[in-house]
Amino acid sequence: MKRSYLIIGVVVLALLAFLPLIIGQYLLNNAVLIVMFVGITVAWNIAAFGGALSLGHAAFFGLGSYTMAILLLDFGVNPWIGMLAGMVVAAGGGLLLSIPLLRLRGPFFTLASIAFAEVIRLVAVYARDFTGGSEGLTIPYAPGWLNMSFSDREPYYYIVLGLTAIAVLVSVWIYYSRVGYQLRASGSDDEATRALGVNTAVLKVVALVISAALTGAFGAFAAQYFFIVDPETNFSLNLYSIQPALNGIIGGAGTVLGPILGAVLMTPIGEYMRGAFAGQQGLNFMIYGVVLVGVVMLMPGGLVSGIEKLRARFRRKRGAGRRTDTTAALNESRTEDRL
Amino acid sequence: MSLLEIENVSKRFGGVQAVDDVSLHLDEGEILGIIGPNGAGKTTLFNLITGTIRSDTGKISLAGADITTTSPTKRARAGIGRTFQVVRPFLRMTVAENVMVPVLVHTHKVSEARNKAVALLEELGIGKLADLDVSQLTLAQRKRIEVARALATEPKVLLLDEVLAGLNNREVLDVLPFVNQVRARGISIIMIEHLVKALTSVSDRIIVLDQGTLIAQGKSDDVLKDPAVIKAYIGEEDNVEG
Repeated sequence: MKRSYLIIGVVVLALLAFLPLIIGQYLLNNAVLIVMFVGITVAWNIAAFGGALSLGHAAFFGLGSYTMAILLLDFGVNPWIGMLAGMVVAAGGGLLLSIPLLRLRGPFFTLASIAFAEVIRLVAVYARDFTGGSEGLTIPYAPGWLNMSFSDREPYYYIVLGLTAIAVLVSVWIYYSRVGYQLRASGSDDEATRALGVNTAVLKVVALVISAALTGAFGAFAAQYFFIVDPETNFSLNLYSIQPALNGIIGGAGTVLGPILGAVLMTPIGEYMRGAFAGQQGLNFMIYGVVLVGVVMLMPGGLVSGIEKLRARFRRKRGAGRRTDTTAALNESRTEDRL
Repeated sequence: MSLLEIENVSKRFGGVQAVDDVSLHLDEGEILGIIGPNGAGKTTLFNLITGTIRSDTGKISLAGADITTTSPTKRARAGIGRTFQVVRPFLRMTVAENVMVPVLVHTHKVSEARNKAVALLEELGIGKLADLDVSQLTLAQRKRIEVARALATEPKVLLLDEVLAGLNNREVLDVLPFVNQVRARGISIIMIEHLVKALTSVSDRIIVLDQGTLIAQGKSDDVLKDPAVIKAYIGEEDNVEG
Protein backbone atom coordinates (compact mmCIF):
# COMPACT_ATOMS: atom_id res chain seq x y z
CA MET A 1 0.00 0.00 0.00
CA LYS A 2 2.73 2.39 1.09
CA ARG A 3 5.00 1.39 -1.79
CA SER A 4 2.27 1.84 -4.40
CA TYR A 5 1.71 5.36 -3.03
CA LEU A 6 5.41 6.07 -3.53
CA ILE A 7 5.39 4.85 -7.14
CA ILE A 8 2.24 6.82 -8.01
CA GLY A 9 3.72 9.87 -6.29
CA VAL A 10 6.97 9.73 -8.26
CA VAL A 11 5.09 9.28 -11.57
CA VAL A 12 2.72 12.18 -10.84
CA LEU A 13 5.63 14.38 -9.76
CA ALA A 14 7.57 13.55 -12.95
CA LEU A 15 4.53 14.40 -15.12
CA LEU A 16 3.97 17.65 -13.22
CA ALA A 17 7.61 18.62 -13.73
CA PHE A 18 6.94 18.79 -17.49
CA LEU A 19 3.83 20.94 -17.12
CA PRO A 20 5.54 24.35 -17.64
CA LEU A 21 6.73 23.17 -21.09
CA ILE A 22 3.11 22.74 -22.19
CA ILE A 23 1.14 25.59 -20.64
CA GLY A 24 1.58 29.35 -20.81
CA GLN A 25 2.37 31.90 -18.10
CA TYR A 26 -1.27 32.63 -17.24
CA LEU A 27 -2.15 28.97 -16.75
CA LEU A 28 1.12 28.46 -14.94
CA ASN A 29 -0.04 31.01 -12.37
CA ASN A 30 -3.10 28.81 -11.82
CA ALA A 31 -0.88 25.75 -11.54
CA VAL A 32 1.23 27.47 -8.87
CA LEU A 33 -1.91 28.34 -6.90
CA ILE A 34 -3.36 24.83 -7.20
CA VAL A 35 -0.13 23.18 -6.14
CA MET A 36 0.24 25.66 -3.26
CA PHE A 37 -3.29 24.94 -2.04
CA VAL A 38 -2.69 21.21 -2.30
CA GLY A 39 0.30 21.73 -0.03
CA ILE A 40 -1.54 23.96 2.45
CA THR A 41 -4.48 21.56 2.58
CA VAL A 42 -2.23 18.54 3.09
CA ALA A 43 -0.45 20.42 5.90
CA TRP A 44 -3.78 21.37 7.48
CA ASN A 45 -4.90 17.77 7.25
CA ILE A 46 -2.00 16.49 9.37
CA ALA A 47 -3.66 18.12 12.39
CA ALA A 48 -6.99 16.67 11.19
CA PHE A 49 -5.58 13.11 11.48
CA GLY A 50 -6.02 13.58 15.22
CA GLY A 51 -9.48 15.09 14.81
CA ALA A 52 -8.46 18.75 15.14
CA LEU A 53 -10.48 20.79 12.63
CA SER A 54 -8.63 24.11 12.77
CA LEU A 55 -9.84 27.34 11.21
CA GLY A 56 -6.73 29.16 12.42
CA HIS A 57 -4.14 28.02 9.92
CA ALA A 58 -4.01 31.48 8.35
CA ALA A 59 -2.05 32.42 11.47
CA PHE A 60 0.71 29.95 10.59
CA PHE A 61 0.66 31.02 6.94
CA GLY A 62 0.98 34.68 7.89
CA LEU A 63 3.65 34.01 10.50
CA GLY A 64 5.69 32.28 7.79
CA SER A 65 5.23 35.23 5.41
CA TYR A 66 6.03 37.93 7.96
CA THR A 67 8.99 36.13 9.52
CA MET A 68 10.66 35.77 6.15
CA ALA A 69 9.82 39.32 5.06
CA ILE A 70 10.92 41.00 8.32
CA LEU A 71 14.15 39.01 8.48
CA LEU A 72 14.90 39.96 4.87
CA LEU A 73 14.01 43.65 5.10
CA ASP A 74 15.29 44.49 8.59
CA PHE A 75 18.19 42.09 8.95
CA GLY A 76 19.11 41.13 5.38
CA VAL A 77 18.61 37.43 6.07
CA ASN A 78 18.55 35.20 3.00
CA PRO A 79 14.94 34.20 2.06
CA TRP A 80 15.73 30.48 2.14
CA ILE A 81 16.93 30.79 5.71
CA GLY A 82 13.98 33.11 6.30
CA MET A 83 11.67 30.34 5.15
CA LEU A 84 13.16 27.94 7.68
CA ALA A 85 12.86 30.62 10.36
CA GLY A 86 9.24 31.12 9.27
CA MET A 87 8.60 27.43 9.79
CA VAL A 88 10.08 27.63 13.29
CA VAL A 89 7.97 30.68 14.21
CA ALA A 90 4.85 29.03 12.75
CA ALA A 91 5.66 25.91 14.79
CA GLY A 92 5.79 28.16 17.85
CA GLY A 93 2.34 29.41 16.88
CA GLY A 94 1.24 25.77 16.66
CA LEU A 95 2.52 25.24 20.20
CA LEU A 96 0.42 28.20 21.32
CA LEU A 97 -2.71 26.86 19.61
CA SER A 98 -2.08 23.54 21.39
CA ILE A 99 -3.27 25.13 24.63
CA PRO A 100 -6.91 25.38 23.44
CA LEU A 101 -6.49 22.13 21.46
CA LEU A 102 -5.89 20.15 24.64
CA ARG A 103 -8.64 21.88 26.60
CA LEU A 104 -11.50 22.23 24.12
CA ARG A 105 -13.38 19.64 22.12
CA GLY A 106 -14.57 19.64 18.53
CA PRO A 107 -16.35 22.83 17.47
CA PHE A 108 -15.14 24.70 20.57
CA PHE A 109 -11.54 24.23 19.50
CA THR A 110 -12.48 25.30 15.95
CA LEU A 111 -13.95 28.56 17.30
CA ALA A 112 -10.90 29.18 19.48
CA SER A 113 -8.64 28.65 16.47
CA ILE A 114 -10.48 31.39 14.53
CA ALA A 115 -9.97 33.76 17.46
CA PHE A 116 -6.30 32.78 17.67
CA ALA A 117 -5.66 33.67 14.01
CA GLU A 118 -7.61 36.90 14.36
CA VAL A 119 -5.52 38.01 17.36
CA ILE A 120 -2.30 37.35 15.48
CA ARG A 121 -3.62 39.27 12.45
CA LEU A 122 -4.40 42.24 14.68
CA VAL A 123 -0.89 42.10 16.14
CA ALA A 124 0.40 42.38 12.57
CA VAL A 125 -1.83 45.41 11.98
CA TYR A 126 -0.76 47.24 15.13
CA ALA A 127 2.95 46.33 15.39
CA ARG A 128 3.57 48.94 12.71
CA ASP A 129 7.30 49.33 13.29
CA PHE A 130 7.97 45.74 12.30
CA THR A 131 5.09 44.87 10.04
CA GLY A 132 4.30 48.09 8.23
CA GLY A 133 0.75 48.02 9.62
CA SER A 134 -2.18 47.60 7.24
CA GLU A 135 -0.09 48.52 4.20
CA GLY A 136 2.22 45.62 4.88
CA LEU A 137 5.70 45.01 3.51
CA THR A 138 7.03 44.89 -0.04
CA ILE A 139 9.65 42.33 -0.99
CA PRO A 140 12.39 43.88 -3.16
CA TYR A 141 12.74 42.50 -6.68
CA ALA A 142 16.20 40.95 -6.93
CA PRO A 143 16.07 38.01 -9.34
CA GLY A 144 18.15 34.91 -8.70
CA TRP A 145 17.89 31.50 -7.05
CA LEU A 146 19.78 32.76 -4.00
CA ASN A 147 17.07 35.39 -3.39
CA MET A 148 14.14 33.08 -4.25
CA SER A 149 13.01 35.80 -6.62
CA PHE A 150 12.38 35.43 -10.36
CA SER A 151 10.92 37.23 -13.36
CA ASP A 152 9.35 34.05 -14.78
CA ARG A 153 6.87 31.77 -13.06
CA GLU A 154 8.65 28.48 -13.83
CA PRO A 155 11.11 28.58 -10.90
CA TYR A 156 8.29 29.43 -8.49
CA TYR A 157 6.33 26.51 -9.84
CA TYR A 158 9.23 24.13 -9.19
CA ILE A 159 9.78 25.51 -5.69
CA VAL A 160 6.14 25.14 -4.70
CA LEU A 161 6.01 21.69 -6.31
CA GLY A 162 8.99 20.68 -4.17
CA LEU A 163 7.42 22.10 -0.99
CA THR A 164 4.13 20.33 -1.70
CA ALA A 165 5.93 17.06 -2.44
CA ILE A 166 7.62 17.37 0.96
CA ALA A 167 4.27 18.09 2.65
CA VAL A 168 2.66 15.04 0.99
CA LEU A 169 5.64 12.87 1.92
CA VAL A 170 5.46 13.98 5.56
CA SER A 171 1.70 13.40 5.58
CA VAL A 172 1.98 9.86 4.15
CA TRP A 173 4.85 9.05 6.48
CA ILE A 174 2.93 10.18 9.54
CA TYR A 175 -0.26 8.41 8.42
CA TYR A 176 1.47 5.02 8.31
CA SER A 177 3.72 5.57 11.32
CA ARG A 178 3.23 4.62 14.96
CA VAL A 179 2.20 8.20 15.68
CA GLY A 180 -0.26 8.11 12.77
CA TYR A 181 -2.18 5.03 13.92
CA GLN A 182 -2.50 6.36 17.44
CA LEU A 183 -3.36 9.82 16.17
CA ARG A 184 -6.13 8.47 13.93
CA ALA A 185 -7.45 6.41 16.84
CA SER A 186 -7.51 9.55 18.97
CA GLY A 187 -9.30 11.40 16.19
CA SER A 188 -11.98 8.71 16.20
CA ASP A 189 -12.32 8.38 19.99
CA ASP A 190 -9.87 10.18 22.25
CA GLU A 191 -11.10 8.77 25.55
CA ALA A 192 -10.99 5.17 24.32
CA THR A 193 -7.46 5.75 23.00
CA ARG A 194 -6.26 7.11 26.33
CA ALA A 195 -7.84 4.12 28.08
CA LEU A 196 -5.47 1.95 26.01
CA GLY A 197 -2.42 3.68 27.48
CA VAL A 198 -1.76 6.08 24.61
CA ASN A 199 -0.64 9.57 25.60
CA THR A 200 -2.82 11.35 23.05
CA ALA A 201 -2.00 14.88 24.25
CA VAL A 202 1.62 14.62 23.09
CA LEU A 203 0.56 13.19 19.71
CA LYS A 204 -1.96 15.95 19.06
CA VAL A 205 0.57 18.67 19.90
CA VAL A 206 3.21 17.09 17.67
CA ALA A 207 0.74 16.84 14.77
CA LEU A 208 -0.38 20.45 15.14
CA VAL A 209 3.20 21.74 15.36
CA ILE A 210 4.25 19.84 12.20
CA SER A 211 1.10 21.03 10.43
CA ALA A 212 1.83 24.63 11.46
CA ALA A 213 5.50 24.50 10.39
CA LEU A 214 4.62 23.20 6.92
CA THR A 215 1.91 25.85 6.53
CA GLY A 216 4.51 28.49 7.49
CA ALA A 217 6.78 27.33 4.67
CA PHE A 218 4.00 28.03 2.16
CA GLY A 219 3.46 31.42 3.77
CA ALA A 220 7.12 32.31 3.18
CA PHE A 221 6.87 31.06 -0.40
CA ALA A 222 3.78 33.18 -1.03
CA ALA A 223 5.58 36.29 0.24
CA GLN A 224 8.21 35.80 -2.47
CA TYR A 225 5.70 34.86 -5.15
CA PHE A 226 3.36 37.83 -4.63
CA PHE A 227 6.16 40.29 -3.62
CA ILE A 228 3.90 41.68 -0.91
CA VAL A 229 2.93 40.77 2.64
CA ASP A 230 -0.06 42.42 4.30
CA PRO A 231 -2.41 41.45 7.15
CA GLU A 232 -5.59 41.27 5.04
CA THR A 233 -4.08 38.84 2.54
CA ASN A 234 -1.51 36.82 4.44
CA PHE A 235 -3.68 36.34 7.53
CA SER A 236 -6.85 35.99 5.41
CA LEU A 237 -9.45 33.83 7.17
CA ASN A 238 -11.08 33.10 3.81
CA LEU A 239 -8.00 32.15 1.85
CA TYR A 240 -5.77 30.35 4.31
CA SER A 241 -8.05 29.12 7.12
CA ILE A 242 -11.40 28.31 5.56
CA GLN A 243 -10.15 27.31 2.11
CA PRO A 244 -7.78 24.54 3.23
CA ALA A 245 -10.39 23.28 5.73
CA LEU A 246 -13.07 23.20 3.00
CA ASN A 247 -10.73 21.48 0.54
CA GLY A 248 -9.89 18.91 3.19
CA ILE A 249 -13.48 18.28 4.23
CA ILE A 250 -14.73 18.04 0.65
CA GLY A 251 -11.94 15.62 -0.28
CA GLY A 252 -12.12 13.68 2.98
CA ALA A 253 -10.48 15.03 6.14
CA GLY A 254 -8.11 12.66 7.89
CA THR A 255 -7.34 10.62 4.75
CA VAL A 256 -4.14 10.84 2.70
CA LEU A 257 -5.68 11.37 -0.73
CA GLY A 258 -8.74 13.41 0.27
CA PRO A 259 -7.07 16.80 0.80
CA ILE A 260 -5.13 16.47 -2.46
CA LEU A 261 -8.30 15.69 -4.42
CA GLY A 262 -10.22 18.44 -2.65
CA ALA A 263 -7.63 21.12 -3.37
CA VAL A 264 -7.14 20.07 -7.00
CA LEU A 265 -10.89 20.22 -7.56
CA MET A 266 -11.86 23.29 -5.56
CA THR A 267 -9.00 25.73 -6.29
CA PRO A 268 -9.72 26.04 -10.05
CA ILE A 269 -13.47 26.27 -9.37
CA GLY A 270 -12.84 29.12 -6.92
CA GLU A 271 -10.46 30.87 -9.30
CA TYR A 272 -12.79 30.48 -12.28
CA MET A 273 -15.82 31.77 -10.43
CA ARG A 274 -13.96 34.74 -9.02
CA GLY A 275 -13.27 35.77 -12.61
CA ALA A 276 -16.60 34.74 -14.14
CA PHE A 277 -18.77 36.49 -11.55
CA ALA A 278 -16.56 39.52 -10.96
CA GLY A 279 -19.56 41.75 -11.71
CA GLN A 280 -21.90 40.15 -9.16
CA GLN A 281 -20.10 40.46 -5.87
CA GLY A 282 -20.52 37.44 -3.62
CA LEU A 283 -22.19 35.21 -6.23
CA ASN A 284 -19.03 33.11 -6.49
CA PHE A 285 -19.21 32.40 -2.74
CA MET A 286 -22.86 31.44 -3.06
CA ILE A 287 -22.19 28.90 -5.80
CA TYR A 288 -19.20 27.64 -3.83
CA GLY A 289 -21.45 27.21 -0.81
CA VAL A 290 -23.99 25.21 -2.82
CA VAL A 291 -21.22 22.89 -4.07
CA LEU A 292 -20.03 22.43 -0.49
CA VAL A 293 -23.50 21.62 0.86
CA GLY A 294 -24.08 19.23 -2.03
CA VAL A 295 -20.87 17.30 -1.47
CA VAL A 296 -21.34 17.12 2.30
CA MET A 297 -24.91 15.86 1.90
CA LEU A 298 -24.16 13.31 -0.82
CA MET A 299 -20.83 12.14 0.58
CA PRO A 300 -20.58 12.87 4.30
CA GLY A 301 -17.06 11.40 4.50
CA GLY A 302 -15.81 13.48 1.55
CA LEU A 303 -14.95 12.50 -2.01
CA VAL A 304 -12.61 9.68 -0.96
CA SER A 305 -15.23 7.79 1.02
CA GLY A 306 -17.85 8.56 -1.65
CA ILE A 307 -15.64 7.01 -4.33
CA GLU A 308 -14.92 4.03 -2.09
CA LYS A 309 -18.65 3.43 -1.58
CA LEU A 310 -19.28 3.63 -5.32
CA ARG A 311 -16.46 1.17 -5.95
CA ALA A 312 -17.83 -1.21 -3.34
CA ARG A 313 -21.28 -1.05 -4.95
CA PHE A 314 -19.77 -1.64 -8.38
CA ARG A 315 -17.80 -4.61 -7.10
CA ARG A 316 -20.88 -6.13 -5.48
CA LYS A 317 -22.78 -5.90 -8.77
CA ARG A 318 -19.96 -7.41 -10.78
CA GLY A 319 -19.13 -10.11 -8.25
CA ALA A 320 -22.69 -11.41 -7.83
CA GLY A 321 -21.52 -14.84 -8.95
CA ARG A 322 -18.10 -14.96 -7.33
CA ARG A 323 -17.62 -13.19 -4.06
CA THR A 324 -14.56 -11.16 -3.31
CA ASP A 325 -12.33 -12.23 -0.44
CA THR A 326 -13.64 -9.58 1.90
CA THR A 327 -17.32 -10.32 1.53
CA ALA A 328 -16.64 -14.04 1.69
CA ALA A 329 -14.74 -13.69 4.95
CA LEU A 330 -17.43 -11.43 6.26
CA ASN A 331 -20.27 -13.75 5.36
CA GLU A 332 -18.42 -16.72 6.73
CA SER A 333 -17.85 -15.00 10.04
CA ARG A 334 -21.45 -13.80 10.15
CA THR A 335 -22.74 -17.33 9.59
CA GLU A 336 -20.46 -18.52 12.33
CA ASP A 337 -21.94 -15.98 14.69
CA ARG A 338 -25.37 -17.27 13.99
CA LEU A 339 -24.41 -20.89 14.66
CA MET B 1 -2.32 -8.39 49.39
CA SER B 2 -4.88 -8.13 46.64
CA LEU B 3 -4.04 -7.10 43.10
CA LEU B 4 -6.54 -4.25 43.08
CA GLU B 5 -7.68 -2.53 46.28
CA ILE B 6 -10.43 0.04 46.45
CA GLU B 7 -10.93 1.66 49.85
CA ASN B 8 -13.86 3.91 50.79
CA VAL B 9 -14.20 5.48 47.34
CA SER B 10 -17.00 8.02 46.76
CA LYS B 11 -18.11 10.19 43.85
CA ARG B 12 -20.84 12.81 43.78
CA PHE B 13 -22.25 14.43 40.62
CA GLY B 14 -24.16 17.52 41.75
CA GLY B 15 -27.05 16.18 43.81
CA VAL B 16 -26.46 12.54 42.97
CA GLN B 17 -24.20 10.37 45.09
CA ALA B 18 -23.15 8.06 42.23
CA VAL B 19 -20.72 5.99 44.28
CA ASP B 20 -20.96 6.06 48.07
CA ASP B 21 -18.10 4.79 50.23
CA VAL B 22 -17.41 1.61 48.25
CA SER B 23 -14.59 -0.73 49.22
CA LEU B 24 -13.67 -3.86 47.33
CA HIS B 25 -10.69 -5.94 46.37
CA LEU B 26 -9.76 -8.17 43.47
CA ASP B 27 -7.37 -11.09 43.89
CA GLU B 28 -4.94 -12.39 41.32
CA GLY B 29 -6.66 -14.62 38.73
CA GLU B 30 -10.10 -13.88 40.10
CA ILE B 31 -13.27 -13.01 38.19
CA LEU B 32 -15.41 -10.59 40.15
CA GLY B 33 -18.94 -9.88 38.94
CA ILE B 34 -20.81 -6.66 39.62
CA ILE B 35 -24.58 -6.49 39.37
CA GLY B 36 -27.06 -3.83 40.34
CA PRO B 37 -30.12 -2.01 39.02
CA ASN B 38 -29.77 0.81 36.47
CA GLY B 39 -28.11 3.85 37.97
CA ALA B 40 -26.48 1.85 40.75
CA GLY B 41 -23.08 3.39 39.95
CA LYS B 42 -21.48 0.39 38.27
CA THR B 43 -20.03 2.21 35.26
CA THR B 44 -19.05 5.17 37.46
CA LEU B 45 -17.08 2.74 39.61
CA PHE B 46 -15.28 1.55 36.45
CA ASN B 47 -14.56 5.13 35.46
CA LEU B 48 -13.08 5.74 38.92
CA ILE B 49 -10.87 2.67 38.59
CA THR B 50 -9.62 3.65 35.11
CA GLY B 51 -9.18 7.29 36.14
CA THR B 52 -11.56 8.76 33.55
CA ILE B 53 -13.10 10.51 36.55
CA ARG B 54 -11.38 11.23 39.85
CA SER B 55 -12.86 10.02 43.12
CA ASP B 56 -13.87 12.59 45.75
CA THR B 57 -12.55 10.48 48.61
CA GLY B 58 -10.86 7.15 49.20
CA LYS B 59 -7.89 5.31 47.81
CA ILE B 60 -7.30 3.00 44.84
CA SER B 61 -4.17 0.90 44.56
CA LEU B 62 -2.89 -1.57 41.98
CA ALA B 63 -0.38 -4.22 43.07
CA GLY B 64 0.44 -2.16 46.15
CA ALA B 65 1.02 1.12 44.30
CA ASP B 66 -1.32 4.03 45.01
CA ILE B 67 -2.95 5.11 41.72
CA THR B 68 -5.71 7.33 43.15
CA THR B 69 -4.53 10.46 41.33
CA THR B 70 -2.79 8.84 38.34
CA SER B 71 -3.96 9.76 34.81
CA PRO B 72 -6.01 7.26 32.74
CA THR B 73 -3.10 6.80 30.31
CA LYS B 74 -0.67 5.92 33.09
CA ARG B 75 -3.19 3.62 34.75
CA ALA B 76 -3.64 1.81 31.43
CA ARG B 77 0.12 1.42 31.17
CA ALA B 78 0.26 0.21 34.78
CA GLY B 79 -2.10 -2.63 33.82
CA ILE B 80 -5.73 -1.58 33.91
CA GLY B 81 -7.58 -2.41 30.69
CA ARG B 82 -11.24 -1.78 29.99
CA THR B 83 -14.02 -2.16 27.48
CA PHE B 84 -16.85 0.32 27.10
CA GLN B 85 -20.54 -0.39 27.61
CA VAL B 86 -21.28 1.00 24.17
CA VAL B 87 -18.58 -0.37 21.85
CA ARG B 88 -16.17 2.28 20.69
CA PRO B 89 -14.17 0.95 17.75
CA PHE B 90 -11.79 3.29 15.92
CA LEU B 91 -13.64 4.07 12.71
CA ARG B 92 -12.07 4.04 9.25
CA MET B 93 -9.49 1.58 10.52
CA THR B 94 -9.31 -2.19 10.06
CA VAL B 95 -9.68 -4.64 12.92
CA ALA B 96 -5.93 -5.30 12.97
CA GLU B 97 -5.23 -1.55 13.02
CA ASN B 98 -7.64 -1.15 15.95
CA VAL B 99 -5.67 -3.73 17.91
CA MET B 100 -2.36 -2.22 16.78
CA VAL B 101 -3.11 1.05 18.59
CA PRO B 102 -2.45 -0.34 22.09
CA VAL B 103 0.30 -2.68 20.84
CA LEU B 104 2.20 0.36 19.52
CA VAL B 105 2.49 1.74 23.06
CA HIS B 106 5.30 -0.72 23.75
CA THR B 107 6.20 -1.99 20.28
CA HIS B 108 7.61 0.90 18.29
CA LYS B 109 7.97 -0.80 14.91
CA VAL B 110 4.73 -0.71 12.90
CA SER B 111 5.27 -4.01 11.03
CA GLU B 112 6.10 -5.80 14.28
CA ALA B 113 3.03 -4.32 15.98
CA ARG B 114 0.89 -5.52 13.10
CA ASN B 115 2.22 -9.06 13.43
CA LYS B 116 1.55 -9.00 17.17
CA ALA B 117 -1.99 -7.69 16.66
CA VAL B 118 -2.79 -10.36 14.05
CA ALA B 119 -1.26 -13.04 16.27
CA LEU B 120 -3.47 -11.95 19.18
CA LEU B 121 -6.56 -11.98 16.96
CA GLU B 122 -5.68 -15.49 15.80
CA GLU B 123 -5.15 -16.70 19.35
CA LEU B 124 -8.61 -15.45 20.17
CA GLY B 125 -10.04 -17.24 17.15
CA ILE B 126 -10.98 -14.11 15.21
CA GLY B 127 -7.91 -13.91 12.96
CA LYS B 128 -9.94 -13.87 9.75
CA LEU B 129 -11.51 -10.55 10.72
CA ALA B 130 -8.09 -8.83 10.77
CA ASP B 131 -8.34 -6.98 7.46
CA LEU B 132 -12.00 -6.01 7.62
CA ASP B 133 -13.03 -2.45 8.30
CA VAL B 134 -14.68 -2.23 11.74
CA SER B 135 -17.80 -0.74 10.15
CA GLN B 136 -18.43 -4.11 8.45
CA LEU B 137 -18.64 -6.06 11.71
CA THR B 138 -21.67 -7.36 13.59
CA LEU B 139 -22.21 -6.23 17.18
CA ALA B 140 -20.99 -9.57 18.55
CA GLN B 141 -17.80 -9.21 16.52
CA ARG B 142 -17.32 -5.61 17.63
CA LYS B 143 -17.65 -6.70 21.27
CA ARG B 144 -14.90 -9.24 20.78
CA ILE B 145 -12.69 -6.68 19.02
CA GLU B 146 -13.22 -4.40 22.00
CA VAL B 147 -12.00 -7.17 24.32
CA ALA B 148 -9.10 -7.99 22.01
CA ARG B 149 -8.06 -4.34 21.94
CA ALA B 150 -8.13 -4.12 25.72
CA LEU B 151 -6.14 -7.37 25.96
CA ALA B 152 -3.49 -5.94 23.66
CA THR B 153 -2.55 -3.48 26.42
CA GLU B 154 -1.37 -6.57 28.34
CA PRO B 155 -3.44 -5.68 31.41
CA LYS B 156 -3.20 -7.18 34.87
CA VAL B 157 -6.83 -6.25 35.51
CA LEU B 158 -9.48 -6.18 32.81
CA LEU B 159 -12.74 -4.30 33.37
CA LEU B 160 -15.54 -5.62 31.16
CA ASP B 161 -18.53 -3.28 31.00
CA GLU B 162 -21.54 -5.27 29.77
CA VAL B 163 -19.82 -7.18 27.00
CA LEU B 164 -22.91 -9.35 26.72
CA ALA B 165 -25.48 -6.54 26.49
CA GLY B 166 -27.31 -6.35 23.18
CA LEU B 167 -26.35 -9.86 22.15
CA ASN B 168 -28.87 -12.64 21.51
CA ASN B 169 -28.70 -15.93 23.42
CA ARG B 170 -26.52 -17.63 20.86
CA GLU B 171 -24.10 -14.75 20.71
CA VAL B 172 -23.90 -14.76 24.52
CA LEU B 173 -22.86 -18.40 24.43
CA ASP B 174 -20.29 -17.40 21.83
CA VAL B 175 -18.75 -14.52 23.77
CA LEU B 176 -18.96 -16.02 27.27
CA PRO B 177 -16.17 -18.62 26.76
CA PHE B 178 -14.08 -15.63 25.69
CA VAL B 179 -14.08 -14.48 29.32
CA ASN B 180 -12.58 -17.74 30.54
CA GLN B 181 -10.09 -17.58 27.69
CA VAL B 182 -9.02 -14.19 29.02
CA ARG B 183 -8.64 -15.55 32.54
CA ALA B 184 -6.54 -18.40 31.17
CA ARG B 185 -4.02 -15.74 30.10
CA GLY B 186 -3.51 -14.91 33.78
CA ILE B 187 -5.63 -11.78 33.78
CA SER B 188 -7.96 -10.86 36.65
CA ILE B 189 -11.37 -9.58 35.63
CA ILE B 190 -14.09 -7.37 37.00
CA MET B 191 -17.22 -7.56 34.91
CA ILE B 192 -20.49 -5.66 34.98
CA GLU B 193 -23.42 -7.58 33.58
CA HIS B 194 -27.18 -7.43 33.64
CA LEU B 195 -27.56 -11.08 32.70
CA VAL B 196 -27.26 -12.49 36.22
CA LYS B 197 -27.26 -16.11 35.07
CA ALA B 198 -24.44 -15.57 32.59
CA LEU B 199 -22.48 -13.61 35.16
CA THR B 200 -22.77 -16.18 37.94
CA SER B 201 -21.66 -18.94 35.58
CA VAL B 202 -18.21 -17.36 35.14
CA SER B 203 -17.66 -15.30 38.32
CA ASP B 204 -15.84 -16.51 41.43
CA ARG B 205 -17.47 -13.84 43.55
CA ILE B 206 -20.20 -11.25 43.13
CA ILE B 207 -20.86 -7.81 44.56
CA VAL B 208 -24.14 -5.94 44.37
CA LEU B 209 -24.40 -2.16 44.08
CA ASP B 210 -27.56 -0.18 44.69
CA GLN B 211 -27.76 3.62 44.54
CA GLY B 212 -24.01 3.89 44.85
CA THR B 213 -23.57 1.67 47.89
CA LEU B 214 -22.28 -1.86 48.08
CA ILE B 215 -25.15 -3.84 49.59
CA ALA B 216 -23.88 -7.42 49.35
CA GLN B 217 -20.88 -9.48 48.36
CA GLY B 218 -19.79 -13.10 48.36
CA LYS B 219 -20.50 -16.34 46.51
CA SER B 220 -23.24 -15.92 43.93
CA ASP B 221 -25.77 -18.29 45.56
CA ASP B 222 -25.55 -16.54 48.93
CA VAL B 223 -25.67 -13.08 47.41
CA LEU B 224 -28.75 -13.75 45.31
CA LYS B 225 -30.64 -14.98 48.42
CA ASP B 226 -29.70 -11.88 50.41
CA PRO B 227 -32.88 -9.99 51.39
CA ALA B 228 -31.18 -6.63 50.70
CA VAL B 229 -30.46 -7.70 47.12
CA ILE B 230 -33.99 -8.95 46.55
CA LYS B 231 -35.28 -5.67 47.94
CA ALA B 232 -33.08 -3.65 45.57
CA TYR B 233 -34.30 -5.56 42.54
CA ILE B 234 -38.00 -6.14 43.21
CA GLY B 235 -38.84 -3.93 46.17
CA GLU B 236 -40.00 -4.83 49.70
CA GLU B 237 -42.45 -7.59 50.41
CA ASP B 238 -45.24 -5.38 51.71
CA ASN B 239 -44.81 -3.18 48.62
CA VAL B 240 -45.57 -6.18 46.47
CA GLU B 241 -48.73 -6.84 48.45
CA GLY B 242 -49.78 -3.20 48.48
